[in-house]
Amino acid sequence: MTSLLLFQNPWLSEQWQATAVGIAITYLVFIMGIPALIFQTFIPDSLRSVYNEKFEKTWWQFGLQIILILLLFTLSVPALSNKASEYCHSYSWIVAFFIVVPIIILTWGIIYLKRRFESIRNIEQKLSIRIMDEAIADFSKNKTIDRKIIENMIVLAKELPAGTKRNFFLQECERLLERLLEAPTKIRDTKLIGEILKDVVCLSVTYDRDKFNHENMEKVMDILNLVYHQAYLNGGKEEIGSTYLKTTIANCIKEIAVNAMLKDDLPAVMDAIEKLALIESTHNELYVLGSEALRQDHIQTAVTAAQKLKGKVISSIDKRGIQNSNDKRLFAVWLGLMAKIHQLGGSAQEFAYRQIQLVIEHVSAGQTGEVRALFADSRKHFYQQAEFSTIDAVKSLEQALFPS
Amino acid sequence: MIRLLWIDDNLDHDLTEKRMALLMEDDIDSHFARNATEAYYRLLNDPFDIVIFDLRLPPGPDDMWNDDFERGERKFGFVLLKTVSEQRKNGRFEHLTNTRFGVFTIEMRDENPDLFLVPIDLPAQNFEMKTNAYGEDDFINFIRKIHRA
Repeated sequence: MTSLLLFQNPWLSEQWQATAVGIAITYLVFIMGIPALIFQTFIPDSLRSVYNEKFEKTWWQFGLQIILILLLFTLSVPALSNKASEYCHSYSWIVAFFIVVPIIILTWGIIYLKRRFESIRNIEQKLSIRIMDEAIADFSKNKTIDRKIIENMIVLAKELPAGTKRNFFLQECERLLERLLEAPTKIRDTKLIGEILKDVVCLSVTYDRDKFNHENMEKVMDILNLVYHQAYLNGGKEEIGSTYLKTTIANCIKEIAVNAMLKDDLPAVMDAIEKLALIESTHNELYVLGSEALRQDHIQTAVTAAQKLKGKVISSIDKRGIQNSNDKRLFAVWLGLMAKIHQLGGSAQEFAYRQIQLVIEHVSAGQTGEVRALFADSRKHFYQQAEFSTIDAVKSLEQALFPS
Repeated sequence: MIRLLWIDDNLDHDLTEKRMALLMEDDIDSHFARNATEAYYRLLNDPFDIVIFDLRLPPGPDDMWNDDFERGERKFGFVLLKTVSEQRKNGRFEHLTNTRFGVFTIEMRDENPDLFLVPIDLPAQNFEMKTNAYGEDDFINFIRKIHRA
């Protein structure tokens, strides 16, 4: 009743009407504007569009509030309100309308504001869970994953901040990959698994070198390793050896290691070399990492790669001797890397010399002709790769070993 | 050639020197794993002469450790050693029949009496405690001692 006394006429004064409309509009702009401003400022464009696609379904609320305000505005125009008074016999209805509607708008606004802030909080985690749930559901239903979902994963892989948030995303990727690997062999899509590993998991640590983070790299390595072992166990040694999954995993590890090397994260490189050495036929990747390490003066890393190659050489000799072209290539790249270490001179030269002597004894029980043929194979391999400096290094190592 | 697997989550931190020293040994083919999952799969697939366990090990990504984790277990090196020892007795790890296990940990011998009981039944000499005074040579000698035993 008190509020009714405030009004001079049967109808609300123009001043009061304008104030009610003004408050409603200001408040609406505030409650819509503040979260939008925060959203705009702190969330990258691409993440925002994925978020809007997955979560943003609040435009109807905004629309309804606008309609209410327009109604208030309309009724506050004297000509229109006089017209309305002709149809409304009790002015208290109009007064009540001008009091109740702004209250509805205010209450609605507070609820909207609270919900909006809550929905923006931990947006990265929410998106990661939502997208992986969609991917798992799509795979369960269609035995594949829609390209649009994978594209959303790629956006998250590129845009999420390095550290805990990205690790959470990687954890979700691991959940998805485990589901894909659990599928029976006949419907298991190795190509899809490889695609997710390469375009999402690996990309999350290689896309932006400035965002390279050791914790994220360790997680990616764990995932690659887990997928390799699970595919190896579920599919058998032959399947993993012949599919592109093995190559994809090896390439990912190599790429991560090169990035880690450029960031001087040597423990990460050592870990990558260890994982790479586990996979069959990865001698070329190990050679590339060893050579790159030498180029950047990371001698320990180069020696680690060389020793892993030596382990592979000895194990392949023990199994069947150097017979096929794969064994020869393995020996060739190991020799190339050792020749480069030999070129460093001093103690490095002694180390390389001793390692080669050890392996040569193993290979041919000291038969010079056989060993020199392997040196020739190595030179030919590097000639085919146009690595002329490595050919020269192998040649000078050969001359040091066989001076005549 | 001694084929060695050393399982420790600190390989990239305070154990890098020991790791490098092992890699430089001519007669030791060294392999490394950082968590229980990684180690389990390696043990499942590859033969080793010696496996050195750290007791306080993270579980790693596989779900197989979830039950132990929910029970509050945090020493996944111990869980792994126990699992492998049990399964080896049941014939799962046939290729590890002659493999010797060792423990290299920050914990004291008395804190882990179960290590020396069935199914693990670790020989007393195969246990070594990590201390700052424990150098690279000592560690390599520890491995050779296990191999000779």
